[in-house]
Amino acid sequence: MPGDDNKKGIRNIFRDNEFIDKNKPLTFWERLYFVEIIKGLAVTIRHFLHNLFNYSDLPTIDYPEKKRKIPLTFRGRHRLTKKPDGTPRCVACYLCATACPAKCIYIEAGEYKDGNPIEKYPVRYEIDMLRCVFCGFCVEACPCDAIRMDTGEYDLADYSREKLIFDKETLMGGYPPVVNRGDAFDPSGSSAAVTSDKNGGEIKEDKINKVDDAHVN
Amino acid sequence: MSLEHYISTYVFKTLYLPIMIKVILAVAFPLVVLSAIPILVWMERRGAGLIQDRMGPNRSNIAGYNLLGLLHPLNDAIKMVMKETLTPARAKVLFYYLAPALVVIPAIMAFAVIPVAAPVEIEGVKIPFQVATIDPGLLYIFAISSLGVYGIMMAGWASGNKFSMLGGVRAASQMLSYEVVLGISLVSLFMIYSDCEPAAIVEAQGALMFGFIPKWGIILSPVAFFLFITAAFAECNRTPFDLPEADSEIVAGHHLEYGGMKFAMFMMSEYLSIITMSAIVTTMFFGGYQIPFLPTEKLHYLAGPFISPFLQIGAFSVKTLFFIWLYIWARWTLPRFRYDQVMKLCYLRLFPIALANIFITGLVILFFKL
Ligand code: SF4
Ligand code: SF4
Repeated sequence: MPGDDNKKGIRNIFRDNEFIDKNKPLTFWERLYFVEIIKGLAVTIRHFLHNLFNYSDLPTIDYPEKKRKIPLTFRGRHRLTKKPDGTPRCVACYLCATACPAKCIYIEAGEYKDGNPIEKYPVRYEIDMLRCVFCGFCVEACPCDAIRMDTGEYDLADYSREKLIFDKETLMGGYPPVVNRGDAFDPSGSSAAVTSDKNGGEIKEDKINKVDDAHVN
Repeated sequence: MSLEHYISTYVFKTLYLPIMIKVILAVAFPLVVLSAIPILVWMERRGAGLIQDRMGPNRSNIAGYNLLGLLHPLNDAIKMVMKETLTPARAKVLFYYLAPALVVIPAIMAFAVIPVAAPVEIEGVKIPFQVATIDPGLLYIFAISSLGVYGIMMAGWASGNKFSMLGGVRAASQMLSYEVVLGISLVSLFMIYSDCEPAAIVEAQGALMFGFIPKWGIILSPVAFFLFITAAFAECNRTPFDLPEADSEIVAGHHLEYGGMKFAMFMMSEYLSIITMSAIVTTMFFGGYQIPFLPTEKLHYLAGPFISPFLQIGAFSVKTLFFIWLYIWARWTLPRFRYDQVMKLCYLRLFPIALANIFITGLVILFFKL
């Protein structure tokens, strides 16, 4: 953001007539109007010249090429988190679908066959992105940290409605597995098992977490 | 040299060549003016962007080069041509299609009497840089430019839309009212230069007053300049007088129901009348093609008949461009007037001032025998 080194430039220009007293009668020169027009023209040309010679200072971000840095708490596109072995953390409990105010989560549960201690997993898991209101209730509701909105992706656009119903594979793809419940988001995936949150503090490994780990391993 | 040969050369030089020159000028003028429109659109958009601390259009590119956004008008033209031709169900078809043409044609025609350089004589052939030399040249400009209101009214009425109708009515009353001020403000200049032909007025402005001040219209009659430029803004329907198309009140006014190329023609006519009005302001008040302190004879003596027209065209273009920029600059500075304010400004302020200006100019000329 060029905001900080900009203080002298663009922002100062705005300061010259901050306060306008509407009850004050106009002076003769103001009623003549021409003088005020010339003053107004001076303001705009100041902006023009300043921006012309400091083009790179403009606050515009060239959007598709450059993107604004998204805060970590931003609710972006959902993802279904994975265990290290690549299976979904989701246990198909339907809590998210129940919590969803837009009723845009569709889950079909199935059972693991090969003696997996977790009984259920989602055979189908679809979110209709066109209906989602990005409230984050699904994330709140999930007991397993299986759905997150920490991708920071917000430019969801496509040419058909069907493409914007995201299926399980789309939702699971592209991001490293989450080993422990509550692991901080690490897009690089280099340290998949960081146990510190974004404030740098240690996350307390409570009982549930351990139980959860037991399931994973 | 035989007599026949001499006669045929004479006929060629005095009859055919002048006609050919006129034809070339008559084709070149509209072409140059029309091809200036994309540049104006570009100036307007980029200028607006920079004035508002934005970048303005810069995405359209060829192989990654966006040429500072200059390709956007090109893209726009392609888009406009490709668009579907829609005719509103309630439109009066003949007039609906006639209106855009009626708006554009007067806007180009008015340029015909503007001189862009002093005439030069090369080997006995006089080359004027003015399409038509008409003695009451300025009256011609007013006559033609006031025809533009027919197109706008017609568009407003024939579209079969209430907002268009309102826009058309607003345009009619505003343009007719300011036409009066526009004409009357120039009367003082006719009196000062005792001429009504643009080229003659420009020639007169080349002279110096007291030996060092150019005899430009703005110096001799500054009040007329302010009146004229105000009325010129209103005539072009530009902010702060853009009531006919006031987007926030009547959507787009008279061209609301027009799309594609028909809309583009309204756009073009707006820019054309900006160019014409700027050219008139330059011609009447800022010495036209005169380079300051370098009257035409002196320039011809210094630079010769081949180069000096180009220098003068350059001077003319720079001055005109400044006023075009003033139009754009003012648009992004001033808010729109309310409708009653526009009318009050015209009839209660500008009109009496214009009349008083004529009277005072007359007195000054009478007593100081200028
Ligand atoms: S963010 Fe809200 S609306 Fe979207 S899927 Fe989750 S619960 Fe439903
Ligand atoms: S995402 Fe979470 S809340 Fe939704 S079904 Fe799976 S485990 Fe349950």
